[in-house]
Amino acid sequence: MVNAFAATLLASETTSAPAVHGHHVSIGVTIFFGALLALMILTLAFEEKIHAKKSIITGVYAIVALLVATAMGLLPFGELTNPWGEAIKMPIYIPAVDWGVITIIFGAGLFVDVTSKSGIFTWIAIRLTKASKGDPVRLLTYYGVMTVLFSAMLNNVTAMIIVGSLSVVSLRKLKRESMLLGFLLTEGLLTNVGGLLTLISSVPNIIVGQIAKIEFLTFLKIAAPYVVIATFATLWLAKKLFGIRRLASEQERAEAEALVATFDENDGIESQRFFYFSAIAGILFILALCFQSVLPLEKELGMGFVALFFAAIVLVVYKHEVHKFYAAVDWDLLGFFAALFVVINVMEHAQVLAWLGKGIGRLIELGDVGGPAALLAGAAGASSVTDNIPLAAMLAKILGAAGHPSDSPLWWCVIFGANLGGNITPIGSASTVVAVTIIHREKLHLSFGGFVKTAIVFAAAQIALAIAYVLAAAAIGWI
Amino acid sequence: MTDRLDQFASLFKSADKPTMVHDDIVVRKVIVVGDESVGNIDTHLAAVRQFLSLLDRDNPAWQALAVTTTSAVSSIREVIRGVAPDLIIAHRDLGESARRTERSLGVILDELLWDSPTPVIVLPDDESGKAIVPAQPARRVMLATDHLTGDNTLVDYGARFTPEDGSLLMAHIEDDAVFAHYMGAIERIPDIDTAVARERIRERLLETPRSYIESCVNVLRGAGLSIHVEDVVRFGHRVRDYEHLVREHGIELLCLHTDWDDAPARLGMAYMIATRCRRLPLLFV
Repeated sequence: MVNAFAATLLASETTSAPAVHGHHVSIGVTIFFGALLALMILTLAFEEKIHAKKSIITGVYAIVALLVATAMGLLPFGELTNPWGEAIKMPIYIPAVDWGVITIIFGAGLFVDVTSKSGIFTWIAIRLTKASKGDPVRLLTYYGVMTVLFSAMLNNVTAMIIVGSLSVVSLRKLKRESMLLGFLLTEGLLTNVGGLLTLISSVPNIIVGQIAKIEFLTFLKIAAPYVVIATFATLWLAKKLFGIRRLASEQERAEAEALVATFDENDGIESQRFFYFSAIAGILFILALCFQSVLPLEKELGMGFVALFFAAIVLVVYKHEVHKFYAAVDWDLLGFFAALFVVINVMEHAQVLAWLGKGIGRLIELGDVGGPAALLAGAAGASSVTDNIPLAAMLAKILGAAGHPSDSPLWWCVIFGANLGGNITPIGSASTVVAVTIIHREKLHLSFGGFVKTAIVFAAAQIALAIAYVLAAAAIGWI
Repeated sequence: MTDRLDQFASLFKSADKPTMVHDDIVVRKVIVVGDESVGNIDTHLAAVRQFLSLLDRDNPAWQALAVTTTSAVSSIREVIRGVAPDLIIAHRDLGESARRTERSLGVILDELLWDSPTPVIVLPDDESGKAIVPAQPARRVMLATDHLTGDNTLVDYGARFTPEDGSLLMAHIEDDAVFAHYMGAIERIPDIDTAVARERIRERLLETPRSYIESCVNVLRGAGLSIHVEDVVRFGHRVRDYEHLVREHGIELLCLHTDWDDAPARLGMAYMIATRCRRLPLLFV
């Protein structure tokens, strides 16, 4: 219902263009708000330097934007009408927020937090470590694939924390500390590949998917082949560039196997019952998301409801201490989204998105090959130096306003570009920041330039593969 | 983020269980050092061989070294270095029969324990302070340490000196006083929940040696040793509790570790136990 209602409101906003509502927006006003948006993006890029959280930065800009836009008479105040013709009184900044996106992030985040208490993710991680028998090549491959899958199921940051921590412990145990830098970098770069796998694997996917109305299963079907190709290409490059080789002698292999055999995968499992319950709930959650668009009731209630529903089910297990999970919710991220949607909504009314849309339109006009390629590469370049979430939100709104259908390859250019751009610089995505943090904690030397020099090879390969994939998929009608 | 990194790093470190790696101890050369208090040194040597008959498996070369009150410590050291034994057998107040001590092992033995990496068996003494050799091989052996986890050498020696069907008691006592000292500091840190810290640290300190002992049992069984392994892992007063365990379990040989990086601390505790367990043969590893 939230989703349907939000969609209705969104539809009403789309028609609230100046021509329809009859109010004139001067170029000066558009430039002013455009500058405000650019300033916000710039401030977000320097988030660490100014020691301010994302929600505070965007919150301040949302307040300023609302105040100025209200003073200029840019906002359509008044009652809203639901599909039954009932008038609803609501503050202007409430329908500006895409609650579908917020509920997916909130529900899925809670669900993952609770189920990870069961020890299931550490169980998988340790089982794979033991299965590798301590061989560096096998270990890199298993950890790489695990990073991708965890990024797809959890969020990129949590995936990086789990796999990164395990890499440190296991490589130290195997006395292969010299490989740690290569492992951590590769894992950091693979989180953004894994973030492409499903509709809920990363925030840009959720935002673009919601606006483009791409279904979970469709998303998976289109993204999965690329994720598989990019994962193995990245692992192949990592082996070559970081000199990771198989163990040569039988004695080395036996020693390594004995060392990893001491890990106990059951150590983190406090309750076998909750462990199996979490595993089953996880599978059902993925299935519910896959078939949400065809399941009765869920079809209407949307993906956000599915996420909240499963979060509520697993929370029942910890009914006496739910406050601990509420405290662990990433309120900064949720506040950031809410404020960001408000800012973008104001930008729509100030015609900033329409103005940017003209620029994007010129890119798209470069042709069937040049257009998508330029959009994907441009999105990647932009998201390498700034937050990919506002970028994805803006581009998605622009493409939506331009009326591109959900099977347009341009949506995928935004998705691939926004996700993969994070691999170019150490500040390009939250998960690469985590990778660099672990690298520095382990006293390994890696400068900003050093990261870019190494990562650019991987990022260039991944982006080139993405362009080729989107173009080929569009040509054969896969998208 | 740092909190979560620490959380998962702790989870994986906890999952990395300490495992025993077994090395069979082979004793090829033994030197028995005694002064005039043991009487005839060859008779003494024969008695010691009887007591340590389980070493016959390795068919070691036995050698006796008689010291006197005028023997220089350096010359005794030189002789022992020359022999390069795998095991030294000595007794308290070696070379100092005129000066029986209550709170010390004697100068020569102190020097040997500090200086030599070779394990030393210190024979018990009687009421009059005279060294005695138990008539029967020890059947009940105990390891006393507060650093059992990963101490493969101590376990290997304990197992080597436990006869077939004998019992090996692995005792790990965490010191209450040390724990209270750290908890006192934790109680003054507002960011740390003291009750949780107390419970979790206690659990962790005991869980690790228990897990290691479990591994020892499996490894020793896998190596074909038919000895009974028992364990005592708890908090207490290290010296008093070990003394109590010796009495309670009828221990006939006590193994202590002295050769660690933090040797003074380790030797200090072993020394305290050694001066209090005078009626018991001690093996310093």
